[in-house]
This record gives sequence, structure tokens and C-alpha cells, in this order.
Amino acid sequence: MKLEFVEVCGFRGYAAPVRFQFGSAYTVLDGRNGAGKSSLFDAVEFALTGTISKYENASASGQTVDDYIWWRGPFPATKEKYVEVGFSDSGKRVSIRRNQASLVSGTKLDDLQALLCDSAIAPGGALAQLCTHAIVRDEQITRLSLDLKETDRYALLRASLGATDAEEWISRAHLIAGLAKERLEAAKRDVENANSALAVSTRALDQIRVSIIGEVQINSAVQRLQRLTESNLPADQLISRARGFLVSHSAVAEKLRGFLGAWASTDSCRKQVAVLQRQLVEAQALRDQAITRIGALPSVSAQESSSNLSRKARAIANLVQLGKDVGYTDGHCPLCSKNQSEAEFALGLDLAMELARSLDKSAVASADLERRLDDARREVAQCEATVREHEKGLNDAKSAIAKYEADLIEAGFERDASESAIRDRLVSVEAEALVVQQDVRVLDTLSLNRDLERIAKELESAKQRSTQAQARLSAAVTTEASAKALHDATRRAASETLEVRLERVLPLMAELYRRLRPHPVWSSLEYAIRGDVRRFLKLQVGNGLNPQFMFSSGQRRATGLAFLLSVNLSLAWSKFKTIMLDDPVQHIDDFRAVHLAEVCAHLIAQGRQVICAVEDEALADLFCRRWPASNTDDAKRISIGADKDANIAILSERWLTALPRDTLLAMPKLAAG
Amino acid sequence: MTRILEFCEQILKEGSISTEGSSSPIPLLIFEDATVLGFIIEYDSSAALLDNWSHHADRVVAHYQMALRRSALKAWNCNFFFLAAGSADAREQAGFTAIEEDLVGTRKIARAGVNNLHDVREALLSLLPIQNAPSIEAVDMSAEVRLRTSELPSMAIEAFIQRADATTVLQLMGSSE
Repeated sequence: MKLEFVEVCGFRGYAAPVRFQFGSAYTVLDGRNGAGKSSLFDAVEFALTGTISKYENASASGQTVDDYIWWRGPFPATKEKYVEVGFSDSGKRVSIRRNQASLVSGTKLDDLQALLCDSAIAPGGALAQLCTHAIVRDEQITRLSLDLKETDRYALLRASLGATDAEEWISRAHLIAGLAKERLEAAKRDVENANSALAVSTRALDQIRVSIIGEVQINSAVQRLQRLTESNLPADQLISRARGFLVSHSAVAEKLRGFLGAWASTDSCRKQVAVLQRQLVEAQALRDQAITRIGALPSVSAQESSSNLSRKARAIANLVQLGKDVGYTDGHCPLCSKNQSEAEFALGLDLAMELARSLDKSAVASADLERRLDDARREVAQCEATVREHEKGLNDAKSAIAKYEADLIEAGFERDASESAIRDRLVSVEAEALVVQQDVRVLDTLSLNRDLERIAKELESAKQRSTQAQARLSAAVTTEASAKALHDATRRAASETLEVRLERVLPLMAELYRRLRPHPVWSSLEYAIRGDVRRFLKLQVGNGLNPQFMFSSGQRRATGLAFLLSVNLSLAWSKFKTIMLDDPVQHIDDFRAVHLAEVCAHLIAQGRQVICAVEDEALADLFCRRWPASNTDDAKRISIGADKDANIAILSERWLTALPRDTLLAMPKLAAG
Repeated sequence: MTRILEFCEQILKEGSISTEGSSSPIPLLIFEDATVLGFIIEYDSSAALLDNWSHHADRVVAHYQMALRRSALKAWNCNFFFLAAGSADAREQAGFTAIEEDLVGTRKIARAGVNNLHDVREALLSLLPIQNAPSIEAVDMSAEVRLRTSELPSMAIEAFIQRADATTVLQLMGSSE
């Protein structure tokens, strides 16, 4: 299938309708910048996919390429805007038309895809991929080749070979292997659970068997319990009574332990009573002695109190001093106005002073007596306090002893029961309780026979479940191994067939590189596929040099052309024989442009259709001279530009004719002659 | 005609390119197809090639000028191949590059180290059809999977190939044991 025509109206820079009819061998278009060359190729992609991929997802100010697909020039376009693309193959013609509403008319897209692609091996989004590989755009030459990551480069080449079908096989095998693995894990869990249940049942059975008691022991236990509980109840009813016995014995034992705990403190109280009684008698004697001493001391009246005597002595002394200070006055005493001589006055003062001294001496003696009385009284008070304290201690001790003895009597002991007697009773009670406990446990085993029967059944069931689970696990292991082997085999099938196909494609890339001769020194390109999980396609020249970093811009483009052309020629699933080159020689010198012309000439000779747009008219002429044409209107030269109405239009077009044949070989002798 | 020129003739005929040997004005091989014509001249060494190619080209063009005029536009596609048996050092290789990048008048290819059929094929590559055009058929994954799963249960593999669901394939894998 080849491209027959493209008709655009109101699309990109085309305001008015223009129809390009292509030669089945090749068409060379020339036109200056903005002449609409690239839009022609965009139209093919838009008709097939509804978008233009070269802008990727670029957006600016909320606008995308979708806002610029249709004419937005300074004057109105023709009312109806559309793109129509026609294909033909051996007389069969189909076309597709897409309008501004992106409505498709003409051939259905699915039908068109079936004509352009081998649906059995085509990858998803085949038409979009077809456009990617069939339209070689100037700005994408290096971006889709040398500048690709090695993994993406490998993926691009793999997709071109239609290897995606294998991915679906691998995916299904992976699903099966995953499911088998899940079932294996589930079977393992079943076995673990069954074994665990088996172990639990086995342990339970062992425990019951160990716990089961002989008949003689049971009879002995029954007799003991009947004796201890003073009853003739049968064994199954005796357990309840025995448990009641244990409760009451436990309370008694607790009480006895209380007696033993208080015994030491009570004994201490008894010993303390005698001591306290002696101390009380001694305190009473001391108190009596103190009272006797008070009675032996003379009493002191108020007049004879030391304070009164001392106050009188100070008053008389003050009076004497006053008399001395005033002195004998006018023949009489200034104190009493008595007429007397001065000698008498002085004698009177001395006598008064002697009296003051005598009073003071009596005050000192009286104070000593008062102190001795006070001391005796304080001693009496202290003795009385001591007596009261001893009396209280004695009473408390006696009360504690009395209460303890009352509790003992209540518990059946003598008032003066010894500690060993209490301890013996406690030992006896605890021993009885222990015996009862053991005998109760013996009687409890009577119910184990029923449990034994039940657990034996459970054990048998667990064994069966374990056996079944083991069988399922064994089958799951085998199935999982088979599923894994299937997955591995599918992956190997995909990988090995892909490797074989790649080995057939990569030599083509190397040959195209040699033909395009991007570099004067590195005349051959080497390739390597590496990586086990993620695969890489590495391109190198010379001794491991990376052309991506080694080559100039033009050389990288020439290398990129070799890669993209080899991918295009390798599209195993493509039935589209057209290669569209949009200005492929930008930055490429005339020497390498000649090489490209030679490569394209061979592609055309082998049945490919080449549609190439360039800016340079001379280069367009070169292509037209170099590429093979017949005389059957299969090759065309078209010039594009603005017409007199400023619309982009076809300025000229002509069918090319074949070059003369046998011009040199037929004439060598003539020429030589 | 020398052995190398015989190799050239053989290879060009394989590519459906007509040839004819000539000794005028110098020993050479003439070739022509629908779009291309030209001459192949052989040299003993790279030095001899570098010394003589220009003079020889002028002589050949002069000798065949009438025929070239008659070929009209096809004369634009005139190719000269200068082939040397001996190897070229870096300086000589640079000289060869200069010859090839000189597009005045004719297309020129200058190569050294041309000694056997393979070397000749490489030198004449621009005239020859694509040598490694891949012809890749669709992969029959069913056959490829069968080939690699012969030890696995055949019914399960057939179910997988027939796109049965995963549960069915696993059942068949398990039941065949």
C-alpha cells in the first residue's frame, strides 16, 4: 500500500483546498520555509490518528497543538476544513477524510489499519506507530535514534519487529505461573494447618492418657473422702462435697496461721505485764516520797513571801536614799518633818538602812524555801504521770492477752495453748486438705474417658486431612513447576525469536550507516544488545566510542537516518511501503546528501515509495536526477509556495521521465574513435 | 582486465548493472544502469591513486565526452571509482576523503585496501542494492512454545496455545500427573 494523494483544506497553513497527487515511485517537493511542506506530512498523520505527535504533549498558556490544527491565518479559509488522504495498491484505492469535528468518513479506520498493517502481529496503536516510523521528520531524526536511551532504542526496534505479540503470550504464561504459585502457597498452608491440627490432637490424647487413673486408686480416694467428709455419698457426688470441705479447711488453716502470727506478740504482752506492774509500784513509791517531802517543808505565808519582803526592802532603801539626797533640813527630817538634830537624822537613816538589809535577807531565805516546794510539787506531778502511763500499758496488754485467749478457746484450744500445739493443728489441717485435693483430682479423671473417645476421633480426622493436604501439595508442586517451565519457555521463545529477528535487522542498520558515511574515519557502526532483564541497544563506532557524543550535529543526523530507515524497512507488520522524509538534510552537507540520495534510489528501485520535501531547489533537482523513474507517471517534482492570493498552493508540478539507457556502454568505441 | 576489475564486473552484474572493460585511454571498467554510469580504475597503491586520480579522471572524461553529452541528465550521475590494492595510512586516508568530498563534475569514490571480492563489494556499495534488506515473517509463537515445552503435559500446552483460561490450563497440568 502506498500513498496516492493528500488533499487539505483549512488545515494548518493551507487556507484553500490543495490536492497533492504523488508518484508511485517517488515525489520530490521543494518550497521555502513556511511553504507547507511539513504540514503535508502532518496531514497524513492527522488523517490516520487524529493528532500530530511531533509536538508531543507541549502546551503553552493553556493551548496545545489541537488549537492550531486548523487554519488560523489573517483571512478566512474555505468554509469546510478537512484532510483527506488516499492510498493505493495494485489498482485498489482507499481514502480517509477527517474534518474539523474529527469525524472520519471514507474507509473505516479499522479497515484501513487492516490494509496498512498485518493485524496478526501489529502492536497496539499500530497506525500511530506506523506514522512514527514512516514519517521521518527533521526535528525527530536524532531524538528518535541516537538521543534515545539505550533501553528505549531497544524497545523501539523491538516494537518495529512486531514483538508485542510475544508479550501477550508471556503475560498469559506469567498469569498461569502466578496462579500456580498461589495455589502452591495455599497447599503449603493447608499442609501446615493439617499438621498443626494433628499435633494438637496427638498432644491432647497423650495428656488424657497420662491423666487417666487406675480403679484401685479411685476406690482408695473415695474411701478417704467419705471418711474425711463424713459422708457415704457415691464418687460422682462426693466431688462437690469434697470441694466444700476444702473451702472450710482453707478457712480454718487461714485462722490457725493467724494464731501463729499473733502468738509471738501475745507472748511478748504476757512478759510485759510483770515489768509494767513493777514499774507502776516504783512510780507510786516515788510519788509518795515526793509528797512526804512537801509535808516536811514549812509553809510560807503571803506576808512572808520572798516577793513581798523584797519589795519592802527596796522601798525602805529608796526612802533612805531620798533622805540622803534631800539632806537634813531646817532642824528637822525632810521625810517625817520630825524636829531632831542632824546626828539623830543620820542615825535614823542608818537604822532604816539596816532594816532594809534585814528584810532583803529574809526575802532570800523565803525564795529558797519557795523553790524547794516547787521542785517537790513538780516531782509529784511527774510521778503521777508515770503511774498513769504504766497503768494504761498494763491495761492494754491485759486486754490483748484476754482477746487472744478468748479466740483460742473459741477455736477449741486451751487458754494457754502453746505455739507448737497450734502449729501441729495447722499441719494436720493442711495435710488433710492436700489429701482431699489429690483425691478430688483422681475423681475428676472419671470424666476423661469421654474426652478420650472424642479426641481419638478428632485425631483420626486430622490424619485424613493431613494426608489429603499432602497429596494436594504434591500435585501443586508439580503443577507449579510445569507452569514455571511454561512461563520460562514462553519467555525464551519470545526472547530467542526476537534475538534472531534483531540479528537480521541490525546488519541492515550497519549497512545503511556505511552507505550514508556520516563520519570520514568511523566508517562502520557496531551494535550490541545487552542486559538480562532490561535490554539495551548500544551503538558505537571505533573502539567503543559513542557516536551520540562523538559526532557533530550533521553526523548525528546522518547516523540517525541510518537507524530510522533501518527501523522503517524492518517493520515486519507494516504493509505501508511509503517513506516520508521531511527535510532530512538539515545540517547535513552536500556530500552526505548525495549518499542519502543514493540510498533512497535503491529503496525506490526495490519498490518503496519515497516522498521527500526539501528547501533547496538544487537538492530537489539532484534527487530527481538520481532517483529512478520510468515513463509511466511514477515520479513527480512539485514546488510549493504562496500563489497570487497569498494561499499556499502548488506552484508547479511535473511528471519525471526516465533517463536515457545505455548511453555510455553503447558508445565506447564511437566515443573512443 | 585485472583480477580486481573482474571482481567489479562480477559484482556489478549481480546488481543488474551492465559493464564493459576498456583499455582506452587507460585500463578501466565502464558501467551503467538506468540512472548511473561511470568508470572504475584500479591502482597498485594508495600513493599511485593519490598521484594520478585527477589526471586519469580528466583523461577519461575527455575520452568519453561525446557519450557523456549524449547521456544528458544522466551525466550528472557519473561515478568514478578509484580503487587501490595497498592499504592507506592516515594521511592518505585524509586524501581519499578529500577526493570523495569533491563533488565537482562527478561523484568520486576512492578506496584503499581493495584486495578481494568482499573489499570490492564494500567499495561499490553505493551502486549495489540494499544488501541486508530483512525479510521478516510473523513469528509463530504457537510453534515456538510447543518447541520449548515438549517435556510438559501436551494437553495443558495445547490448552495454553488455544488461549484457554489459566484455571483450565492448571487443571490439565495437574490432572496429567
